[in-house]
Amino acid sequence: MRSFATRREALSLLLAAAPAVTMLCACTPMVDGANDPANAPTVENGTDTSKFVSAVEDVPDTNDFQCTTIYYTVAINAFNRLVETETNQDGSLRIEPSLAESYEVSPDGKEYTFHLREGVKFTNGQPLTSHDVLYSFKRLLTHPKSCNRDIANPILGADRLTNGTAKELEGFVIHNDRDFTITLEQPFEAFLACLSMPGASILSSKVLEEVGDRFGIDPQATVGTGSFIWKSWNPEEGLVLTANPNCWESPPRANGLNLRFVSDPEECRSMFENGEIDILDLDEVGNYTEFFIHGDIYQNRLYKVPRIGTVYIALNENVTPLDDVRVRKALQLALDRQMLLDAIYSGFGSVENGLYPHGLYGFNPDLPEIPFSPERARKQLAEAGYSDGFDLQFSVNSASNQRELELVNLIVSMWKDVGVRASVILLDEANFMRLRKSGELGCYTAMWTADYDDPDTFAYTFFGNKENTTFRSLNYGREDIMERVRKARSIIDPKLRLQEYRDLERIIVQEDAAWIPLFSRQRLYVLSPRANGVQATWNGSVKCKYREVSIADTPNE
Amino acid sequence: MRSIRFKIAAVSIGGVLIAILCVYFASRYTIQSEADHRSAQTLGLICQNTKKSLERYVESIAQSTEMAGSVAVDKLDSTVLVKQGVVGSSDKGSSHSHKQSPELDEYLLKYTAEVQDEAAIIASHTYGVVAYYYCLNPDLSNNEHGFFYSRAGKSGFEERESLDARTFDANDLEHYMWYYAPIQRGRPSWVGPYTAHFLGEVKLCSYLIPIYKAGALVGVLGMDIPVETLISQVSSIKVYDTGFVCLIDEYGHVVYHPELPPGSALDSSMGPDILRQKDSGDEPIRYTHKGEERQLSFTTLSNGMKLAVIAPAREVNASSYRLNSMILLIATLAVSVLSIVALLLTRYITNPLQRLTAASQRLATGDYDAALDYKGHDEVGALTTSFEHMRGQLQKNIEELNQKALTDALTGLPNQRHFFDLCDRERACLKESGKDAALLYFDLVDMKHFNQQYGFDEGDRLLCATADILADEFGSHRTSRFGQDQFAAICDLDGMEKSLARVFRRRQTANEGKTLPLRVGVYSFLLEEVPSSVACDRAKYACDQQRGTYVTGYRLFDATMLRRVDTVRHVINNLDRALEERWIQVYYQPIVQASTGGVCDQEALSRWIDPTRGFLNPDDFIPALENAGLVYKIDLYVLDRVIEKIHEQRELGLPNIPHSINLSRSDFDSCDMVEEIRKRVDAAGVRRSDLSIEITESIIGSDFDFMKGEIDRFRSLGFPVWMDDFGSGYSSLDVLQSIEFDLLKFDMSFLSKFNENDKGKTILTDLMRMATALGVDTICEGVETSEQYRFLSRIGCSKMQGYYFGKPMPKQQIHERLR
Repeated sequence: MRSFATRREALSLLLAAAPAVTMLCACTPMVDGANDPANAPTVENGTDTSKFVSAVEDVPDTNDFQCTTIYYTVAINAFNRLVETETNQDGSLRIEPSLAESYEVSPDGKEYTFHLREGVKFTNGQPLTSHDVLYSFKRLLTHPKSCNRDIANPILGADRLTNGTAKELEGFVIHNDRDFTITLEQPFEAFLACLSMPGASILSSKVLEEVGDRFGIDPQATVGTGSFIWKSWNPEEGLVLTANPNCWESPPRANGLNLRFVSDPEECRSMFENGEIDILDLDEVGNYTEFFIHGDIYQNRLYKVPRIGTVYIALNENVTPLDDVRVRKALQLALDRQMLLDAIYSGFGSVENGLYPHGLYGFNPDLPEIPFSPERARKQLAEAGYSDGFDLQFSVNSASNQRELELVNLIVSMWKDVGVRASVILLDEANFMRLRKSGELGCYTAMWTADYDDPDTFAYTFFGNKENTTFRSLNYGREDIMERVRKARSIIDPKLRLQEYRDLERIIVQEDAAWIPLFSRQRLYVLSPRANGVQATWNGSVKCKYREVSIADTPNE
Repeated sequence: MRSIRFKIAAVSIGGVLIAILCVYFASRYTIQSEADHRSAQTLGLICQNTKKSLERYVESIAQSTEMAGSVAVDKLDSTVLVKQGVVGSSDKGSSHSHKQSPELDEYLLKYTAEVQDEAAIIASHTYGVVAYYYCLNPDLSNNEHGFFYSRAGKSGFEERESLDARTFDANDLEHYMWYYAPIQRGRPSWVGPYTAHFLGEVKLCSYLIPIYKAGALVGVLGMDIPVETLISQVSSIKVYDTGFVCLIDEYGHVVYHPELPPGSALDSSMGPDILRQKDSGDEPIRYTHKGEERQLSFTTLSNGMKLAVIAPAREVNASSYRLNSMILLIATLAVSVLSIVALLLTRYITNPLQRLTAASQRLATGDYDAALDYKGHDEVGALTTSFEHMRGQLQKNIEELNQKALTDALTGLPNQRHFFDLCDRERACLKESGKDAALLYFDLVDMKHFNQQYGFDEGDRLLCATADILADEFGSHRTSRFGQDQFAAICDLDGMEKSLARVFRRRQTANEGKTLPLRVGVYSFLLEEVPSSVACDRAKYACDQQRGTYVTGYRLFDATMLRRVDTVRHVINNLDRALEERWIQVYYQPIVQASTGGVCDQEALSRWIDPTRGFLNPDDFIPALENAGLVYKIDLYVLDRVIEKIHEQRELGLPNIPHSINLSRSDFDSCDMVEEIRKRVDAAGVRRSDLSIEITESIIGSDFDFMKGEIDRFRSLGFPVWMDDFGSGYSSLDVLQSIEFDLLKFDMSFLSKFNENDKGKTILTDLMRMATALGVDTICEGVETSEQYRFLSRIGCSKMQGYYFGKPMPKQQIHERLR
């Protein structure tokens, strides 16, 4: 997976795969009748959308979930995975059967035998078979534009299939149409969690062989087994998905999804106030968020869910004096992170002290707090020989929003208080990404959200190997730690594995100060009076639970 | 009875009426619904159009304020605010205390100036803004309060003293709701109308935005518009003739109303909840104001005010009223026209039926001539044709039936009943022409034997030939066949004899000579004017007087016959009374034993002693009663008297002398005479051998076998049976051979010419010998002289009866004689 420092990437991630949650994820907020659903549009491209769930959606460049890391709305609503990650009453997570009605894991943790659910059909009427699953993984590994190979990489022979030395995926053995076994190169406890990622959605081999590259572009060529059927895609307006009446799970509660392409915060706010949107992510309305938080009108219609992700500051150890751990610690100590959270996000979130945010499997509540101590920061700087401070370039993606810019300014301001003279460098998005991937950005801030409920989604992504750490412009230098990160993946004993990840977290963040964790944010939605049953998934996404939302005939009071 | 025409007309008109009423009320309902809908739409349209105009204005204010608000947010420096402690507390979303600092004041001064610069530009380019301001949260600074600019004439805005929120009274919403309402709502909103005292107590509406930074309230930014501007845009609008547009605040109080003061309620009759809705929708809202029904449509402006369009319902619905009146008129006309059409159509349809009904009614009275000219090709036409056909057939059948009822089927002559009618007419004709009428009754003699001899076909031919002769002679309308061999005719009395002579002559050669004698009875109306039937009866009587003769001839009914007939009628009419009142008396004539001269039997004989007519001979009433079939009453009566007499004799101690009684042929037709006599005799305890039954030889011949059987029954029961009047008629010796009698009683005719010649003596002598040879006892009646007595004794007659021995005498006399 990638981290995205640009506004667009960050926003997309917020929408697509927010971090894991530990809070209640199903609630039906009380709402008032301020908005009038009668104003909502009822016809989109000839389809009566009056009973559709209406929400704001980013314009995707593709809905081929294997070739994107951002746009998963079609994947999670029109397709299914072998398994899904669900939240328990106590907030813990569990892996639930989905297309695979059951599975067994071998004692050595390497073999996963799946049994497909009987009677599952794609919306074109074709039955789901083991061959479709194999095709999905082979395509994931071999498609030139695939962005999610990480999901299938643990499978035995994945590398050889990817690099062309093998034509078949060695670790995938089909027993019959419904039963197959996946063998991993080495044990990987998070493998099932990875299989619940949108990129692991199962597609139809026959359809793909017919439609080729039209998959993900042409709604009619994008056939899944999910709760909705992708009906249309108007680049100027949005996506329309209709309910799949024959869905193996049962039809969704609403007649469909009307996902509007709106980027202007004012327009988003106006559409919601006019009843044209049922579920509004307040990240979409920028400064107008305040208007939904204050007063008494929306209090009963606010829906708050933690997002499993960390806003962090990357420090490039290849850049002097960031190669000095004392300097990095000084920069950590100079930041009043609670103040930053309060000033920018009105305090909706939690200050983080490690890699793994609140809610993620492996989160360590006992991790020592990184204190706000300008004095200690100055002391550290002095010890490092920078009593007078030093100059630092703080790179910012020009596509960042007002809040992100304000965050950077505040960070710079706080660092300035200890003598660090950080200058904000605005880079266009392409340049920003290029420099970051090449490990040349000196310092930047971004948010990383969990793809799956495992500390590996942070540890390996940022510190799993040299490539990964370069890719994030971290240039973390400790090979021994990166080796331990890689080995941690295959520890079979969960307790030992968890302890290893927590030790690594402590070393990387608190001892090496390889990055500065700031905070994890709370996600805020506001709901229309007619929307019932809104739920969020483990990582705070309501998109994955659109099938549970119903549209009332009369607005809830 | 209701006629079909009435029923059809009633049903048709009723149907038309119901249909039109249904259509009328449906139309009325539809029109009313449509009118309501349209009126609501029309008022709604006026409402929406007016709203658009106002909204353009209101929204431009809101947009401008939003623009200024965005500036106010964007220009906030988070760094300063964080450093000054304005934001950054974890106490999210609420104002909090912080240390006052000159740096913050300085920043706020600079910040508000920047905001004001841009807000001034925005406000100056926005129509209708009378003031714009930014009132800082007093918690931020004690010194900086923001800015406040109001319009000064047409030149632009001038700065006013900034609004220090510390001085605001949170309870004085009338004046400070513009500040507190948006904070309470937490979002941009319209406030007002309210009274802005800092602008000279003018009524304003304000669009206000609470400015937040990281959850902390920085201040309230707003722009004002005068309510008067809104009012001016609606006050001139005229709806229909007298309707108008008004403005109401969000609490339902009047902002502008041409008839009501500001602040008053719109109208209590409308109901309190209606104006709480967002708009009036598609249904008309009506209420009454000072007795006038009004219709209202309203909508909510984005500033929260209600825009209401009000018009009198009569003006709004004028077109529907006209339409309803028109429909009522059309419905009335339609009912009238269709009723008339229905009546005419019913009349047209039922007229042939009515004529047919009339024709059938006339047919029922025997009138076959009612005109039926309907030729329509429908059911009634078919019915008329069928009826005509049926009527014709019926007429034909009735005529045929009449023909058969009035004429004789064989000869074609009028039958008896018809003849009597014809007679009456003919008599009248003859009388008119001064002539006398005679009624002739014809009887072919012994037709029965003719039929037996020649067969019925030949018999019929004879009857037809006879009919032809009579019709030819007297005219077919004056001639009749009464039945069997009887005919009748009426003719002029004067030519009667000649006519009869011609008839008699032609008869001889008729039917190729195979003919019969013709007996004729004639009744002249000169004797007495009687009905034709009576005259015919009398002619028949005269004819019957020739019975026993086998010759052709005629006999005129005379006065004697008239009397006899009268007697017969009297006898028949008074028989029961005569029996009851004992006008009939039984006389007993002694029969003596020739050898001893003593009475050995007594013949019981009935005598009618009429209180008015005196003594009637048996010949006067017995034949009449025989013909009437009533003689059995007398015969049984005689039996009863005989039985009484026998009992009396016993009681008197007189010798038990047997009796004989006479029976007629008709007695056997009236009852089982054998059984009847047995029962009475046995019941009376009389010996059967003491009662002899006298049966004349004439009645045996009429039905030989039957009578033979009855005689045998009498004899087998022990009753002696005598043949009476032997030798008076066509006595057949065959009878004596076939039937056994106990005694032969010789008719007195044998003795009538006792002294003139010896023929009678010779016959009697031979008969006596024959009887003796047969072993049958004999009586000779009519013995009147001793000479006769001796002669009879000599030839062997065992018993005698006659005046010589005694006349028939009453019971008392004979009792005396027996003593």
